Amino acid sequence: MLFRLTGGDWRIILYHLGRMLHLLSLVFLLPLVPALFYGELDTLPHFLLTSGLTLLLATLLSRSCQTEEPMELKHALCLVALAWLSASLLASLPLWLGGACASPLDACFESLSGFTGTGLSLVTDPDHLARSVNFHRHLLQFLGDGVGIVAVSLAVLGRTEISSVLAFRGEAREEGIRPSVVRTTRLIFGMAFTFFLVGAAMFTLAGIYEGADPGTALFDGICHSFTGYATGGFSPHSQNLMYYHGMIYEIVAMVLMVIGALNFNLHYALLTGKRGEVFRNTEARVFFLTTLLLGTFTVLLLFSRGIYSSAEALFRRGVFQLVSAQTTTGFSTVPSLHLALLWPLPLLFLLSLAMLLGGCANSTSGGIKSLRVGILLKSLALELRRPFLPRSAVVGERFHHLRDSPLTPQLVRGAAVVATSYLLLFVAGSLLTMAYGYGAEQAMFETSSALSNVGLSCGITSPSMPVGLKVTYMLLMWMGRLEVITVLVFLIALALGLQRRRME
Amino acid sequence: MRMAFRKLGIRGFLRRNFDFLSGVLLEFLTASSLLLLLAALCFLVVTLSSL
Amino acid sequence: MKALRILPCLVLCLLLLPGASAASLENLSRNPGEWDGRTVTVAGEVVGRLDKGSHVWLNLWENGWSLGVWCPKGLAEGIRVVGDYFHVGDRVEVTGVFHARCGEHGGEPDLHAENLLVISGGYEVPRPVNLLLLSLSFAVLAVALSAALLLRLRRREPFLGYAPEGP
Repeated sequence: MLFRLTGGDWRIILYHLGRMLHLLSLVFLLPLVPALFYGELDTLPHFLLTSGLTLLLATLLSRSCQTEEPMELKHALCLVALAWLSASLLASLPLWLGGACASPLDACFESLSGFTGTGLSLVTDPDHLARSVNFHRHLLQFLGDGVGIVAVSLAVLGRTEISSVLAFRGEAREEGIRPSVVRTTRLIFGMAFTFFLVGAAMFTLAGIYEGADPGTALFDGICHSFTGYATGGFSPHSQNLMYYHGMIYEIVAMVLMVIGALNFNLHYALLTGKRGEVFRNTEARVFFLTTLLLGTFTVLLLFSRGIYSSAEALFRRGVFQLVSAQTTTGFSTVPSLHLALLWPLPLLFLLSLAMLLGGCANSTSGGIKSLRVGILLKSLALELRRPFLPRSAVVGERFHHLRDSPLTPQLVRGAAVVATSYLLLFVAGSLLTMAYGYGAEQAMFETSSALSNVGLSCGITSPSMPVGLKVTYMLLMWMGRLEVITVLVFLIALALGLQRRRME
Repeated sequence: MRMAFRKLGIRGFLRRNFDFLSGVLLEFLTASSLLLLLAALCFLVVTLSSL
Repeated sequence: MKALRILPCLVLCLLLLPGASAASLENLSRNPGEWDGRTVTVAGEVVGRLDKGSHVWLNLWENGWSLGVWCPKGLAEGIRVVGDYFHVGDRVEVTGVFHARCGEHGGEPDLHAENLLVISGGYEVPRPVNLLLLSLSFAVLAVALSAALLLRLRRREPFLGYAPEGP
């Protein structure tokens, strides 16, 4: 029967989950480095305990559910959905023990926001947070969104190439760069690490230039590079990038955000000498064009309404927020409330649109993705041409993504399914937010931010947010990161499994 | 100085990784060009309105 | 005689001068339009300091609300402690003009300080190690490692091994 998973299926899923959690238990030890460096010895138990519990759970699962059965697509999809949820739950422990969040639910929200690369934050006071705990928050975004921890784990620990392939697809990474997914995943990690290093150096130098002391500039540089490349949006300061009050710092952030939003295959092509790809690639063109178009509207709207009158202000506030929204990063140079109180209403809708469109497929960005938008637009153009052509004419459309490919009905259907599911969730999330008494434009803005894993807020997301809304946004972040289908498959399989147990 | 560079093997490293390093530079230039266009747009809007 | 004539005028001028209104950082954030361009007095903890030659940027924080203060270097000389994990920063009271979108600083919301007063000095926050929690964490980690190693030894597999099989 469709969706019905047997006990044997769950064994396969839980076994591989256990193997993935083994690697995660090591990841939770990484913040010990800043904890020891900065003398934050009181935070050592938080990470040791988290690592120990993760390792214990991993061992329990891989021991009790050991199986030699091969993984299929249905297992991979459920594994990825469950892995993201369990990893977020475990990663919330240091946040709660470290006093970053007011409640366990807030800590789960924060860690899920981290892993999914969203960036909506419920941390009450990041300026007084331990650097090790702050490092942990930012590392979650780099590993979860920047690298794709699930695929990485299975590539490192995977029993077979097939399991890695399937988990790769489950994690919304559709194309492989190299024939072997294991090599692809290692390549992704290598590229991410390179951009992280360069970004950290640039942020550190920019921070020192803007007047910060070298120690603070270095730590902030590392954190902002983690979340800038991963298009996550977390910051070690409550003011986000406004802490530095500097255009140079903001420019560095924008450059890294745009790089993070580009397709991994495009990175690979550029890094192996195929320079022309950036101009021929349909997706890159759609991304650049939509950013330019929406950027133009943003600048014109802000200027015409007298919000900002200087080129510098238009660029540092308007363009920055637009780039942050389009790349689904969430770095901010405008206070959340000012977006709702001072910026014109149409601009909130425009930013919501930019967030929903998102960055490139197979990148660190969220949203519907430029490739799907490009496919749907080309399909629309084809349909508009058809009535004017002779009946016997055979028409087709092509697009260039690393190579010239025909626009097949299957491609269009795939793009339409994902786009439709995003839009349905967007509508549902917006209506639910409005039910809590928020205005329509604010509801749409916040919902698109959570669903597309952006992290920009117009003031709704806060520790005092209703519990129901926190849970709603957690669901949206989780579904958005895994492009909806993966989570739906898991939830349906779980529901049917529970229903069958009740009937038995 | 030249001896030092030769001993460190910097030239060799650069030659072996030329594609990769120039690719990284191209990435940053590509991203910067998009931002440059947007900055020019801001400047244009303000300048044209004052005419 | 002249002084007797001048004094009432002076008093009148002082009374007519726009006074600084007391506001909180939350108030400024929630009602930026209302406070834009007005002289305000706010209080907050210093959580950031960036030196910019003749001026400094101070980042003030209070109850989850924050604001940047553009301050002449001389005014900020009394600030000793910046808040972080181990310190509560100096608590200051700043009087100055609030800008919801400062033209001088690229549209950023800020306060241009005209006067700064250190209300209370910062202090160190003790962060003692919770020995019970530390012991528990070591115990859990030890149990977990033992269990994992035992399992690997029984299966005769390398720890965190990677053994790809062909498709």
